[in-house]
Amino acid sequence: MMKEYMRIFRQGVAISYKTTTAYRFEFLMTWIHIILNFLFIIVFWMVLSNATESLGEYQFHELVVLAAIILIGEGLSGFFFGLRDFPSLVREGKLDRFLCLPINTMFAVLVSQIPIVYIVQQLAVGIITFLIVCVYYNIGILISNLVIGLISLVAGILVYQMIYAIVTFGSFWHENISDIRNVIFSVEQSKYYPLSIFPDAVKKVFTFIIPVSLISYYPTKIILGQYTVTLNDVFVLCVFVSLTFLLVRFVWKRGLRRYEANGG
Amino acid sequence: MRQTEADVKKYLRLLQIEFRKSREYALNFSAQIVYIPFQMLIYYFLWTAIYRANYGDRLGGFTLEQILFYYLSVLVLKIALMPTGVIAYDIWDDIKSGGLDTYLVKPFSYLLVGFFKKIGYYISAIVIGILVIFACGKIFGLESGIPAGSWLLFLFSSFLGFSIMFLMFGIVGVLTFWLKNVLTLRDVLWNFLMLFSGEIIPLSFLGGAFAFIKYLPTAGVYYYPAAILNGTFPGTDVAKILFFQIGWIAVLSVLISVLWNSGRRKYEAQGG
Repeated sequence: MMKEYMRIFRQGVAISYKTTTAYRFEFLMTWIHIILNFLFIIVFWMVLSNATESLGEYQFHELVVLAAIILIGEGLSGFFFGLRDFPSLVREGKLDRFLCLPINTMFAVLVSQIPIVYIVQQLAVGIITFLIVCVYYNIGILISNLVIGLISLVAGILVYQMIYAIVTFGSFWHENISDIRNVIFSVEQSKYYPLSIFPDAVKKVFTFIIPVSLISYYPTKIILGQYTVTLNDVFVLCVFVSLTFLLVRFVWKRGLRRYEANGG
Repeated sequence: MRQTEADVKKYLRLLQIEFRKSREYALNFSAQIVYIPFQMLIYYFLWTAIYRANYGDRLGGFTLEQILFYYLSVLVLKIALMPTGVIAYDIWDDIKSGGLDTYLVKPFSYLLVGFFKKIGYYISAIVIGILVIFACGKIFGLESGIPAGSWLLFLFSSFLGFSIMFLMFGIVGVLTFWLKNVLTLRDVLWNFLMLFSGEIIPLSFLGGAFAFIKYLPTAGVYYYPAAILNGTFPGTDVAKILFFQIGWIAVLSVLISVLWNSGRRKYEAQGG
């Protein structure tokens, strides 16, 4: 069974790769797009660093590390890209195509839209920038901090994407869920800034309700050795992951039942 | 003379049709402005932290209130102007699908039709946008007695910004005649706009190696209209800014015409 899923996954990746690289100019542009996008964030921090000494206790090089970790996180989040267009699948009845397949429906939806080239590009630019900044600014990173930081990043991405999925599955009940979802997740922009600049109430929202800080701020702090993970943190994160998983499963099953009952 | 009159009438009629859709456009715009409070809150916390860490009360020539008002104006402009960028996709789609054929046999300019179609949304959005800026400015104490003249100049400058944006994305769309797929090139242009138009940071912050950005056409899209409303420039400079925008419109218009005529010949030669 697992082998079969891996085979489908590999096929999805291969199709996505061939589609993106079909036009050479377009492929080149995707690299320029990702590099420019990232460079402009760096320029933004560079300009602000000239105007002010530090931001929320962060120096320029730490802000670049934050940007690099965010980019790595965005690359990993690419595996959930299929969620973005999910509401239109429901609205137009195109989910039927996936329901007929003899594999897990959600897996099929996600595999059909893996932007593998973008994922690789984001990971590459993020990792290279991270290494350059560490070497250039002589930042010492402990392997243990790096491993724990990356695990927390992956856990954060899982939680964040599951919350995103819960809202997205609202499309089974509400036709225009995309608009509501876009408004709710417009706060994702805050991930580019250190959490410490926000007041306590907002910090809590960005950690427990729309956990933007779990995909940016905390993993960066852990990797830089500025935050020590306690057993309590591990326990809270495990509970958070489990609860959101149970909730996403519940909403998915209820939604699917409603879709099928309507003859979808 | 009669021919010119008939030509003008065609496009005015098109504009009239677009105005009839204004209720729909107003609804779309209203749905978009829901984002503004969330984004303004993030800007508020960010810039408060920056000004707190800074020793002076001015950065890049802006006080904290001015910079927040600047971002408010940019957010509204962004919502009003962004749909203009769709022209790149429209042209790409028409060339790729062969839909361009139906336009070429009609007695009007394809690009002008695209321009007038986009104006409809822009006018509906900017009128509501001005009310939003005014109301938010009053509520949050960001707008301190902006004279009526500045509002009018802002309106005019934003229209020039709209035209620049239309032409830049139009040029990307027209490149489909040679490049086959221009959608990522369009995304790269969006990237450029982020920094080079003053969307993420006012261009007055960019000195030294980045000073040239103020002279690019992108600066005329968000930065100059928002800065005019903010009162960042004295009256004489406002006139220069408007001429700067008009100058870029002229240059880009010539460029798009040359590209369009050349590309169209290539398209027709291939039996398009």
